[in-house]
Amino acid sequence: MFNTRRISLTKVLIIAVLLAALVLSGCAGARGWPGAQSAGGTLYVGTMDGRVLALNPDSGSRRWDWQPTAGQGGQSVSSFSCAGSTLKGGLFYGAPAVANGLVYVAFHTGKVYAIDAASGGQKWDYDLRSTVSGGVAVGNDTVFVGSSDGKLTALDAGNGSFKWEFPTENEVWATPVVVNGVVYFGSLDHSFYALSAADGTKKWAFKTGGGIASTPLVVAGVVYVGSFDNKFYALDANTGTQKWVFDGAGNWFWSQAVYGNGTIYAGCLDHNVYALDAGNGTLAWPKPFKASDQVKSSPVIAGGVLVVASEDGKIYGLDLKTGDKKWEFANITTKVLAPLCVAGGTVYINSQDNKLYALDGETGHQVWNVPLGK
Amino acid sequence: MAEAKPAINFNPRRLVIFLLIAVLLFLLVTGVISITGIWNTILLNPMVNFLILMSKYLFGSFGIAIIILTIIIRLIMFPLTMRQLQSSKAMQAMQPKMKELQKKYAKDKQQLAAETTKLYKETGVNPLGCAFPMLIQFPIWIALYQSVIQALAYTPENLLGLSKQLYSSSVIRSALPLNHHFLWLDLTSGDIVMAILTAVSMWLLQKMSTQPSADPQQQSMNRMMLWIMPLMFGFFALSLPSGLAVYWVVSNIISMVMQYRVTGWGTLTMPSLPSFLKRGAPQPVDNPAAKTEGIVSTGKNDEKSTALQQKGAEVEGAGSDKNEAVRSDIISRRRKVRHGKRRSKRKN
Repeated sequence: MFNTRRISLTKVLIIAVLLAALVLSGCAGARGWPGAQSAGGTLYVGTMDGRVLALNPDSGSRRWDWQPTAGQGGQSVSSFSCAGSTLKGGLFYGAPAVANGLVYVAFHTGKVYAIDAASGGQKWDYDLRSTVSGGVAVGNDTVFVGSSDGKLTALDAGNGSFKWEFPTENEVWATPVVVNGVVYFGSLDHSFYALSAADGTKKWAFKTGGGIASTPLVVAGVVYVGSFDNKFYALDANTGTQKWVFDGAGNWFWSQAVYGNGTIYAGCLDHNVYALDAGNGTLAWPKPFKASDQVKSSPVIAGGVLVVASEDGKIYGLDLKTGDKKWEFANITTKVLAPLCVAGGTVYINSQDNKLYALDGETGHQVWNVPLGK
Repeated sequence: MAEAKPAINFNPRRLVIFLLIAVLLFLLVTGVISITGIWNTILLNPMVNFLILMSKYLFGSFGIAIIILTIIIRLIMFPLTMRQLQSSKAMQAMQPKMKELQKKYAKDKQQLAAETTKLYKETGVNPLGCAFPMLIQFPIWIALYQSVIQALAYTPENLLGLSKQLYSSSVIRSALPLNHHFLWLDLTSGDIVMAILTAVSMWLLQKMSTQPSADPQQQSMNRMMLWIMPLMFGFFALSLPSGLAVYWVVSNIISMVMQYRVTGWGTLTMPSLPSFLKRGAPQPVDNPAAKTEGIVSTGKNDEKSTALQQKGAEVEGAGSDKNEAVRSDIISRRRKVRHGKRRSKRKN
């Protein structure tokens, strides 16, 4: 029997349920993709629950475990709020940076921390007051970090005091790189910048057709960086002039490329791994290697093999000269988005289920895997 | 003499629809296509790409793109919405007869169902006519919400996901990331002003679409609806990205215009109405049917109210002859009203 009363009640119930479903479906916000960094015989690893661990690279056993003290992880938001969920928790993107006995990490909440590499004790922290969606770089006794307010901020590496900041016209999600007193980074404002690491003065800027979120690679006076215009650029590190551009990709470049034997290897979101001649940008392999999903993680070279991770968790070992697949590791059942880390022929893979896998680069055999949760 | 067999009613349109549904089910069951794939291909991806494209050409403003998309969506759904409004109006008009039937066949549920169906057939009212257009809108809401979140891509994960949904056009790809500021709003986060605007516009719409009733139960239901819906939407507008609230507010304003065209101001009495200034307050219509139903004329919609009341009276007459008589009466009344208007124009 239909009547207006019943229809009205049904209407309210349907709307309530569907709106609740709306909220839940949209609340899959930021989770981060923390990576790993090897330095001084220790592996420093970020975890999905916002901690930094120091691990023995041979066994994965813990040396120390650090997390921000209560209230320092960032702003808290109501459990219902979806719109503000980006500020929830203490997640971070990219690998920790290690220099001068300190480990540096920038949380998505905008807090930058320096941790003692030996003991895991916190040395200092600095609040950028804007979200951070990239990693940190250290050089010239300075920590560099980009933020969502469009700035690249330079902090004193020793005490965390503010040094200078450089504004861009959009968010800075890319991890900067410091080479020879120059800090290189891309911005979502479509430009790539080179600044003096000492005072932040602009040396040059190069405009691309899309936002830049990938970490640049600087080798022998040339900067290699991919953009959201589906192009991969080689720029002169001193002047910013374009040396060549690769225009054959079908999606964005987001990961940092790796260099080996005169070739640049770049993963792309079109599922391909491109091998480009470092001198002229031509394809070095007969055809690009096609992975089973987007290649977001930065590839590495380990044991004479190019190791690549696709987003669906598949790890591939590729021949450097031909691009042929040498091995495949398919035991990771979740996404892999963090940059890969290499140390002594072993590749370390931080997966989204909060586990760290150690694989032999040459054979693809698993050395160990450890859960990174508490 | 042998009775003639009833001819099989072959409807080619129904057969085509049936075959399409069968093929779709087959493809879903065999895994050739997935629900997510269909959703993304048909609704989400076009919406996301359209929003990005519009933003690119509308001064880089994602807010204006949402408003334009809302208007387009409402235009596409215009026939459905009109049918919904007309159905709910007709449903309301036949309530007296429904009550009469319920009273008459209180002990015989089967007969009541048969008589109700008969009544629907006679009056040409589809009881699902109110619910169906509303249900059709939900997937669009959900797709719009997802597309707002994804197109804005305010987290790296969102942007990474978005890269899979973009068409290969370099115009679209290079437009990202979008500017998520519009007027005073950060479209990625909830906003108190937009929450209030959503709630107020929803309240006004509810007030306009609520038909008056003498039934105390119906009255309490109306009162509940009048407040629950605006509060619920206001709460969600505060919690969800304000881009969605922009859609709701614009959509509510369009709905109010359409509602006004079909049923007038409804129970929303506007003090600024010229008729209010003339009369001082809404007056009850001197009509016994209206009195029993508690229908109050707001002045402006005398003609509409009369038609509505007559519809109510129409269903009270069970036979088609009576209906025909009532229809003729409505037509003659409308003619009189138009004639009167023309005469007054000539005088002026």
